[in-house]
Amino acid sequence: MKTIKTTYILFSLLAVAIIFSGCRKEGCTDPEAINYNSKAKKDDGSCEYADPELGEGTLSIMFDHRWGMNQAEFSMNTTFTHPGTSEEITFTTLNYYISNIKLQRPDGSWWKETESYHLIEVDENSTPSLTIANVPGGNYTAVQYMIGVDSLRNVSGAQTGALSPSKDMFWNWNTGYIFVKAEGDADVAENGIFRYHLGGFRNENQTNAIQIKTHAFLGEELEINNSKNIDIRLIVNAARFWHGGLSLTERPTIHMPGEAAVNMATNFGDGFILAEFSND
Amino acid sequence: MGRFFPIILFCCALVISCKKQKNITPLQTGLFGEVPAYFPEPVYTFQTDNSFSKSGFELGRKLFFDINLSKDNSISCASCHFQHAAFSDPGLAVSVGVFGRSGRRNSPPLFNLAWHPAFMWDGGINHIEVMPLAPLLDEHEMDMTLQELLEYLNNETEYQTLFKEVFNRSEITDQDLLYAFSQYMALLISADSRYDQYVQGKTSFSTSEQNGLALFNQHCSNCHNPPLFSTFSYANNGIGVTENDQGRYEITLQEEDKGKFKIPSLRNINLTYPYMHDGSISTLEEVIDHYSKPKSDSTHVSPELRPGFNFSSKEKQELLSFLNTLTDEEFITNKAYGEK
Repeated sequence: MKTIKTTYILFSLLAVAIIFSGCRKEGCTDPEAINYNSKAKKDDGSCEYADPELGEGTLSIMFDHRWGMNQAEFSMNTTFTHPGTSEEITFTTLNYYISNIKLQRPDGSWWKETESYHLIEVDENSTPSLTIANVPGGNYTAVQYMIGVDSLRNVSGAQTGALSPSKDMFWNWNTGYIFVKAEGDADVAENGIFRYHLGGFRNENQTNAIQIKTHAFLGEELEINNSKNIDIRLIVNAARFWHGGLSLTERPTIHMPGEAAVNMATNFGDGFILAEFSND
Repeated sequence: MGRFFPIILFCCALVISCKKQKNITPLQTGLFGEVPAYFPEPVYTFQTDNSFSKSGFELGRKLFFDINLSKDNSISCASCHFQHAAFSDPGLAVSVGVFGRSGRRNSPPLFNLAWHPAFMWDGGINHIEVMPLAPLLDEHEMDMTLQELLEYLNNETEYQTLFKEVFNRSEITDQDLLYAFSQYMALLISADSRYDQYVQGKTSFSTSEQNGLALFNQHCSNCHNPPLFSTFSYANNGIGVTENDQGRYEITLQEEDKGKFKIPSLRNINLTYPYMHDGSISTLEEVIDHYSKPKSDSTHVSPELRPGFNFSSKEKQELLSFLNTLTDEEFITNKAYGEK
């Protein structure tokens, strides 16, 4: 009987406590902290502050586009040869989203960039880059990112910034982001063009085309502090769209989520390789 | 019972505290009267920066009626969504867009959109905020680009002032445009039909209407379930798959979705003729006939519709008189929704 009574009182007190404390989204509420969460309403004591000695550093990630296994120079509006079929291919558009960038600390925990959405657009410069200005100083052992946009942002209504539908990376008839857009000329294809619009975020019907990439800095560590800028260079193999011998006559267009988009996005994602990083 | 009380209290506490603290703006339906208690919670929660206001609603309404949001300055949203027809396009199987172009599906009525988990006949659009992009940008409808729309809005002094007042940003963005539309669209609420008054005990039904309601509950309410009169799921009702329109399949590429379309709400149904996704049936009588008959194509049609309901002519009359109670006169005449 006594235990029941104790339970009774305990639960009741807990209930009252919960009502008053609320179930607000918890996180770090101090704007000065490096992991400040603007959506958090209640501080959960998780705030982390940059080491004042190290401050915050700038990290740039460069996407160095190449063609084929031997990493030949790549550029837009230039004719290349299909690695398997020797069909001629000329890119006019190559855009993709890089999102949810994280850096892993030696203790295994991750620093995450907030609002981490970047649209990479290849133009006359075939090595575009993205820059993160406020990385907390310290050592890091790996970088992780998504090629694509997380499922939540695909279902959350009107977005802005890199995710604005005005970037033409959005399907307005079948809501969702085009993660990777590759377009160009190919004489062998029907109509002489190829158009790959790759996306899809749902697990049902196997239409999830989001690629999560992790590159470990094997043995070395990235050292970030306020006195230097760090560059990471990734190699992106543009010939990977046709990996496995897929020919342009066979498949000149993909314009919606589905198995074909997932396969091609996976192949393209596999072509992202960590080349080097500078710790100068 | 007594010893479960603390656990119940505990659960209640969790529910109460979580409900209150959601980091989102609830739909302020109260702007135009209360939604009946028997309505479920709306599907949409709106982002903190899209907080509903009277001026936001009015801005959305102004945009809805603005013909300059189309390529040849000839049509607005309201050109295919007339308030007097519950914001549908009465009499037209498919509506006419810019330069006289035609679409391929029937213009749906617009009301209670905050309860729709997805939009369009194939359910391809997953959020009310991004819904207007389809008609604004589709070449058969308004055929604009977002760049053209923003250039127009940012050059109009009146819009500059109104957007600044509602969203307080220096320049009008596509997000502001979509937010403003959503504030108008989400508040197009139709919940005051004679059926609603009957449910609330404010009016009574004739014998014919009562019999119609009973028939409806027996045969129709599985798909058109009250109070919204749709499950908003997808079904093949035997209209048929055409080369030109494969319905839900075009979104999912799943074989079983061929010829399936979003189940429409039956509220205001006698105003929204012609019927079906292709507008191929002109009158409600013919729609009831359609469901009354057995379906020959048994491969795709929903199993429950295949045998046909075989309604007698008296039953058809009764169903019709019940369906007529779903018309909401207040909604179609409310000046708050109309052009200013």
